[in-house]
Amino acid sequence: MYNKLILFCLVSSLFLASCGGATEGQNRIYEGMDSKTEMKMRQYMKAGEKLYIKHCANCHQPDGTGLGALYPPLATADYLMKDPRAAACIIKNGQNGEIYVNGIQYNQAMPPHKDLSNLEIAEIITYISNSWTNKSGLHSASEIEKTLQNCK
Amino acid sequence: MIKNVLIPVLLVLLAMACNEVAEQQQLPVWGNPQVKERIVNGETVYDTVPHTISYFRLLDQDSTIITPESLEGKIHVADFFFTSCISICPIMSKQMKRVYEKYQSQDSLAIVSFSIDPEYDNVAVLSDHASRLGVTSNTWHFLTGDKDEIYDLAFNSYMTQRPADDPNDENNILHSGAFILVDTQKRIRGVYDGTIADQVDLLMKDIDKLLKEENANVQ
Repeated sequence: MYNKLILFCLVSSLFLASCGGATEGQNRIYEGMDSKTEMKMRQYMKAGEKLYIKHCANCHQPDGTGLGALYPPLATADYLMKDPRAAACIIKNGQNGEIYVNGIQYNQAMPPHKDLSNLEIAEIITYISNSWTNKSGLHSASEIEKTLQNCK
Repeated sequence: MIKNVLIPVLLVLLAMACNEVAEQQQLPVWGNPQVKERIVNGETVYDTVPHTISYFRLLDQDSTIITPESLEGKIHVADFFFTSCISICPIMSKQMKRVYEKYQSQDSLAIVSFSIDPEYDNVAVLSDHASRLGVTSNTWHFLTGDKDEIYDLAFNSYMTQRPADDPNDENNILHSGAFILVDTQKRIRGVYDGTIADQVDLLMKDIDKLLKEENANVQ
């Protein structure tokens, strides 16, 4: 009888752990943050998602997987994640020429987005580098402003 | 008690019957038919000729010459695009790829994408584009060739593109994301917005309907 009770507790805690998995997955990107930074990042993520759908998902797709060897992925993309802030120059000014993402060559021109503000670009970068199993913390507007001053 | 059972049963049967009828309805034939005169045994006979896709002779991404004869016995889905297009073409490519993936192993359907910028989109560019998109079989033809010929097809055969308002505009075309379904007799049987996934779902349902119709005609 006692054994059955232990078994019941084990099984139900497993269920609870796996059910909590969904929110746990989303929360992993806020791990270790103080509540003020977490609040700010949550706002960035929400705004970034809207901007991403509007300006980026057309080519990079809503799930960040890109399209064949035509448009590169952002999800688990080495090119993005090695330095997410560097994407600011690409988003603002566009980019031409050959690049390699996860070993695959891409050579499609990306258009500039001159009309996006520093904050909007920071929100997009925060969103793409913290979605679809990507994780890289908050990229604030002031950090992005600095990056944009040094674009090649 | 019998009424309580009978009426719902009748309603269900009625609903099923209506579905049956809707399912069996054939796809319409689009475009304005023309009436043509012929003389048969000294008498004038009038034929109603449906709108059909005109003759064309273009080159695909494998440097193969493609004419309507290349599509003999096949139904096809057509669209108009250009490789440097970043507005509606990415979504169209993604959606057309769904159609390609579903039917690529079938001989009975072809996909034809006409470039409305054939000067830049030559065979090499189209070949690169096709391979980057992941198109490996010859189900999907990306076509280039004479610009006037392609524009004429766009405006007058497939009718889904229109001349732009500015006659001095070099690229005098209003580009729409329409996918056009054409049967083996070169008649248009459906037009769908290729930028909307639900419409492409409908296109694929209609492709199945059309393939059934074509098979029935063959027998």
